[in-house]
Amino acid sequence: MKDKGQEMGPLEDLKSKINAKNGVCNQQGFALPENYFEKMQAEVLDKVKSKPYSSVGSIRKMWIPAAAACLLIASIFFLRNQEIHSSRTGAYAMQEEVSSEDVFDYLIENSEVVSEDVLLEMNGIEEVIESLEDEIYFNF
Amino acid sequence: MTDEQIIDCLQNRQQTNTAFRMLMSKYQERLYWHIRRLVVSHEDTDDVLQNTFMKVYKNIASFKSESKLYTWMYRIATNESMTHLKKNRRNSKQEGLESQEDFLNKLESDVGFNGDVITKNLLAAIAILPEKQRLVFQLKYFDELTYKDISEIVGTSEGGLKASYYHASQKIREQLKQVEFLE
Repeated sequence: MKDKGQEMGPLEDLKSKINAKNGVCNQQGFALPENYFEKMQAEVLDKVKSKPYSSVGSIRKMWIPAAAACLLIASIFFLRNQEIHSSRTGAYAMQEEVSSEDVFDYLIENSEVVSEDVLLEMNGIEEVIESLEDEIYFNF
Repeated sequence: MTDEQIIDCLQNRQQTNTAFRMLMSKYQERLYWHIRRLVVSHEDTDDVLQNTFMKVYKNIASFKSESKLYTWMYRIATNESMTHLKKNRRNSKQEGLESQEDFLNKLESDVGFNGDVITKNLLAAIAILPEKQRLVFQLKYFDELTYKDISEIVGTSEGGLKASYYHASQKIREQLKQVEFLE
């Protein structure tokens, strides 16, 4: 690598030229509105006054109850989901355990109690009756 | 008033506003020009500078004197400027770096810019550097910060910064040679 001082020579000269032309160092031809900094300070102070001063300590203190609340909500949600899942599993298990034969038996045993309308509204009752009729024919 | 005294006053709630005004008066110009060179327009610079001071005010309680106050403020100003530029690029759906032509157009359309052709070409040559090189070059060349201070701002080793600055200078020289501003 070449000597950096020598490499920078032309660029340093250029900076001197630019600064000399623009008068004030660092401006590089950019203009600044009059009294800008006074106005800017006033605006910033207005903004910070309208927002209460919050130290890092107080923010940290706020995090603890917020985190605890989140944890509580998450646990309730998790437990509720578990409950729903287990109750659903129970219902499916019951469905699996009760066979169509059991349903037939129940309906035949309780044919006096279960009204005809209810039987007609039940889904798949036609198949139940058909299979029941087949069974009767074959047994005779 | 020294930076340490300003920090003490800022952390004492009764003196916060007076101390904050002092802090702004002390650093507003340096930060303004640093931001202006990165975002170019005065309006954008004003937004970024105000956000920078708001962040300084909000976070001064967490400032630990492990770094200098002004390097900490420069870091906030740099991050705010970069965020602003990225947001603008996203809004204009522009991918990657700005082209030299785009930058020159932006400068020419900016009523707040009255630099001569040499200045314009120097700024355009800087604008097309990769983001990190551009930042390092500006902090060293215009702000005349030490490598140690730049290292605190950018979070890169001094050796890495020297290499970045060297490469950036070489590229700018080449660019300016092409437009015959340097021999």
